[in-house]
Amino acid sequence: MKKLIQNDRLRAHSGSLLSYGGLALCLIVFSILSKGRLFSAYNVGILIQAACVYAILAMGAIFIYSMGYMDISVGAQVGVYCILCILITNATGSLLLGFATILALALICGLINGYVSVMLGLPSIVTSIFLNSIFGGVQMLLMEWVDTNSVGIQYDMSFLKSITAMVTAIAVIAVIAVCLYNYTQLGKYTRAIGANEKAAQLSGVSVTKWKVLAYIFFGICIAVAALFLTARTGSAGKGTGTGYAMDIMVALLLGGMPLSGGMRSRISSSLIGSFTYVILSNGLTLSGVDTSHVYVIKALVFLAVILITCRKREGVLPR
Amino acid sequence: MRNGKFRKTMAILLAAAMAFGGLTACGNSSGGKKPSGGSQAADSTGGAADDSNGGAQDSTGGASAETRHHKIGVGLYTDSGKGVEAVKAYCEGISDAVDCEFVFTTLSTYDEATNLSEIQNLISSGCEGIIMTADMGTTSIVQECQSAGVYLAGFLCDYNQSMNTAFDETFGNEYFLGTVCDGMADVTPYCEAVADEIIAKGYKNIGVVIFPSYAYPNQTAGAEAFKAKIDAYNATADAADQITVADPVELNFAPLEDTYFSEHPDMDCLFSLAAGAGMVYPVMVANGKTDIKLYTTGFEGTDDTDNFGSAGNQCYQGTMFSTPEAIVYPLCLLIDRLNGTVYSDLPKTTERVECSPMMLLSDEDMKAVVDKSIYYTADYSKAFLSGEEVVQLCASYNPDATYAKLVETISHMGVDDLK
Repeated sequence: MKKLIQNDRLRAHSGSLLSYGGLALCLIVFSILSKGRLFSAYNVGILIQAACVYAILAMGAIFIYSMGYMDISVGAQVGVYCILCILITNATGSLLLGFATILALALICGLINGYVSVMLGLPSIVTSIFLNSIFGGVQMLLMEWVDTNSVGIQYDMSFLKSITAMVTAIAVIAVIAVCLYNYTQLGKYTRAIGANEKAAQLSGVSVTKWKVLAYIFFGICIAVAALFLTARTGSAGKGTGTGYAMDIMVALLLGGMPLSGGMRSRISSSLIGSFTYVILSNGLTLSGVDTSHVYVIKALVFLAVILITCRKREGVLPR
Repeated sequence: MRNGKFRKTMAILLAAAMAFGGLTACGNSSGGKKPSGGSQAADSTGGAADDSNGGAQDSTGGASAETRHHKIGVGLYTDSGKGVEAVKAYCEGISDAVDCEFVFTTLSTYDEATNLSEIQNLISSGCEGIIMTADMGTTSIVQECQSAGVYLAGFLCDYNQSMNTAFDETFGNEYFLGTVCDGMADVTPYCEAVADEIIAKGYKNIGVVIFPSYAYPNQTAGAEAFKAKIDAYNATADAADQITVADPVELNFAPLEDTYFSEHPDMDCLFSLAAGAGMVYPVMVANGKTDIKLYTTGFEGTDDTDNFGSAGNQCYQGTMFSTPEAIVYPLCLLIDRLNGTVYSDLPKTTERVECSPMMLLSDEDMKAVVDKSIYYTADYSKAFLSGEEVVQLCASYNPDATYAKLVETISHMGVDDLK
């Protein structure tokens, strides 16, 4: 009997345990190939720096992916927020004002993304395509307006650039995200919407409300991520944020996130996936892999991790 | 159950393939390296001399300097193409003689965070010096290098952005050693040479394409110099010989619009300072406009070679690029600084220097590049400088070496020097 219970527990948590497989595999393989450099103090520091923005974005994005949606405007939003934060901070000397502005904008965009799509009966990805175009255009216009290729911040952001600040930010957002996801109606209903939106609606769940709230939380994460990205690079330009939408999706998949969302979604996917994604790029360089082989190896690793973390009997990819 | 086994088997196979690929690549990256030390310099001299049978020969009678081993990271602006192949071939060719191991990575020309991460990865992999070909996120990268005690220098990049907006943070930082431009910082001489060609060949309706001025202000200045030269000609030319130059069109890092040709139906020549091979020529082909003559910058070594001058469809009539051997400028500065030596005549202020560009304006120019340059062939033996000659340019290995000599060396790497 006891053994049966243990087996049941093990089976119930096998998905969670396996989702760590990709990260563990990367850590083991690259620690060997890099001859231990992977765990040097400097390298651990840069891994945290590189993963910080991905992790914060992914923890917000998981609420969206749990509903079975995706947001492709995240990269363009990050780019515009970084530029605006720099311009406003440079003009006023107040980083707080710069951050408050982008936070307000991010909340408005979250509202648009969630509410407008429901009001107009559009899939959320359509509104995110619209926002992506708008923000892409604004980013280009801003750079033309400042008449330079890249604009640097004149405010000392070294306190946000430190490893301590970044770890704290990841931890704080993680605690909030875990609480919201596991212990509030927001997490429960976003997963329910992802499992079956119609059923959730017929069960009395206000899809509009929870959708908007999920996007608003994602918006907050985007604003915070933009702040840390600005702190890290000290500048922003027409290409800032490019590729983040795809990067976040890949990171979540690496973390074992089902693409269609639903009840099997887990908040841990965001952290595991972000670090796996960053370690992959870092480890390949440390291992001395030729740049021409990097893409192929990344694809192989990606496929291997997906296979390892796959939890569905009837399919290969977590759907 | 069978699915589960299949997944696990596939996962193990893929993981094994990944590990094998990684290990193979590791083996390649360090393969052929010799231990550092005095005797190794002689070994490397011999090795490099064996490899060379043309331009890159030991002109010093064998380098006797005791070299010190260094690991240098090279961040290139792209991951493929003849330019990349040539840089890698040259670095590989000189690596034994200069006693340096080169590690390559690909940078972004528009994303600061990517570049910072790539440079951090290079530092973490043990690189003592970094050579970068992109000026994006440079301020934070220089700070990172300073905190890690790693030196940084530029190559194929004018660092215009840093020079004009963050001079003190970059050029003023002791860990940034300077840069060599992609040819000339000022493209006016090429633009004026193209104007002379156009006047001589009698083209009448000219289009001009540039990248946005906020990103490439030197292209805007070059287009203005081109127009000024044509205007000066028009001032004395007969009405029938007058040349019309359309206002420059800015490409927002996207190919030229198809409508451009319908808006200029009489155009017989196009001067594109904005990467014509990638952004303009394919559009010309798609619109059946290869009868328009194209003068541009950059060199792919594909369609631009096949259709240059009197060859192929004769669309390409001129182009300009710079040669990979110019990497010796940042490399020598890095080696010396890592060895704790500097040139006796090294300027106090970090410099941005120019190297002689390859200006191709005739069949003879193209033939010289195709037959005799490392850029086109990726053949180290065709390089302007051998590894031994690079060693002799370093103050730490040759007490007589001077900064002036280094700068002079990279100013003799043009087409005429190939002939």
